Amino acid sequence: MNSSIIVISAVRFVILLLFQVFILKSISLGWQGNIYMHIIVFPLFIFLLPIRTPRAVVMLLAFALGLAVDVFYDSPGLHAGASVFSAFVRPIVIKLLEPREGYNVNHSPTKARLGFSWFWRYAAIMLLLHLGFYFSMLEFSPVFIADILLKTTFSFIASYAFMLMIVFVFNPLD
Amino acid sequence: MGGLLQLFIRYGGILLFFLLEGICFYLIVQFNQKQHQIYLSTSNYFIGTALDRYNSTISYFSLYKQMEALHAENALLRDSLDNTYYMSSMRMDTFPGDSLIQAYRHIPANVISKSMFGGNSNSITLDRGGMHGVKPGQGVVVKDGVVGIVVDTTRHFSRVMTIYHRACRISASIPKINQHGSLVYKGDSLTVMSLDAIPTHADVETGYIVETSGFSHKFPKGIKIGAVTFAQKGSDNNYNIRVKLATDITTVQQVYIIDRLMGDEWEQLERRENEQ
Repeated sequence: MNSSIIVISAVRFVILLLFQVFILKSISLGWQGNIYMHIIVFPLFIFLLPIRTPRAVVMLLAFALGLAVDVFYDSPGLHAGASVFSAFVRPIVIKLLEPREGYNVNHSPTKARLGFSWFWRYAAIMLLLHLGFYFSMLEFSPVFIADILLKTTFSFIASYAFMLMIVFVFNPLD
Repeated sequence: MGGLLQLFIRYGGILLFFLLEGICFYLIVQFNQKQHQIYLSTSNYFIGTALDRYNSTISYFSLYKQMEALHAENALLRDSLDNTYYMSSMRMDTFPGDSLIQAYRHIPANVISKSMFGGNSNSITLDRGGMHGVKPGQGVVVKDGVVGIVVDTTRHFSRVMTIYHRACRISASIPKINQHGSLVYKGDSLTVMSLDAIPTHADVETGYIVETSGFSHKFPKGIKIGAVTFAQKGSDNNYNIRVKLATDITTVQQVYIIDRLMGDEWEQLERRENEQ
């Protein structure tokens, strides 16, 4: 059980990374999405780690994944920073959305485990925070607040759609 | 050590978060063109502002030195005013360079002690004395105002009888009507003096400027004193004139002592006449 989660996570790490940097990057470049509509799905890896995973481990994994994405996006530190931020706020968001009966800490926060009505809120909050941080770092100045908000909004719509599609197609248990 | 470990276990997540974000931040500003420039210009702005603040704070400490320097420079400039020169040329169409001889010199000085004005003492003490060339009988002025007359000096200090002193009479004139009289204090408000001995045949109106006359060798001609605010014909063929001072003498800190370079010669001449 324990080792299977590690294997699943490792596979998910690689597949999401490749999917992100080879397919989604090309898609958003194709419609000049790099202006307003970035499709960013790889944080799904961070979102779906088991609830009991220590915060430090989540952050280190997020850092590694973000750096790997950054290598392909040629933007050192940008995705890594946003990912570490996502990993940092993840326990807070999970705590915030805690159902009345609580969590089974051995489970992962997936749609299959906690139901769609829980998962769509969780994914939305986490993705919004991730994208907000990412675009703040991308613009790097509060002067561009309008740009930050617009990019976050549009990218959120596209990325969220992709993310839900993936979750519905594969419907991972862990 | 154990405490530190405890601290790290408790706040490890947050510490790690800041560590990783610090690394990311470093990478972002180091290797991304746009963020690098924004970072540089922002940090330059803040560092510049901080340096600016620092400089403006530090400059306060040298203000006194600067004020002293300005004071000395002012004295030099006043030395070169027209009314401090003695014109030795006889004809105006020949004006050789050496026809102007310095007749007055300004010694900058600070007021270091004041007594209550309008009372019995009416004197001030200055921080310049005999070693700077201050002698009894010299006039003391400020910009647009006469302060008084030096009555006593020591090596480093001098005592000045202000214009509020009973014995102080300043020769003052109204240049508009070419009349002169003596300026005395008669116990009014400290900004109001009386001008005596202006004959009633002259037309004195309020608003006329009062200056030093230059007839006493204590003050050069043309130092502004104030303006006439009240003029009434008195019983003794003289006007009863009140003069509002242009400068509040009671608040001055920096003054100029007027060193009359030709004063001795002038006095000698007048004394010789009296002896005859």
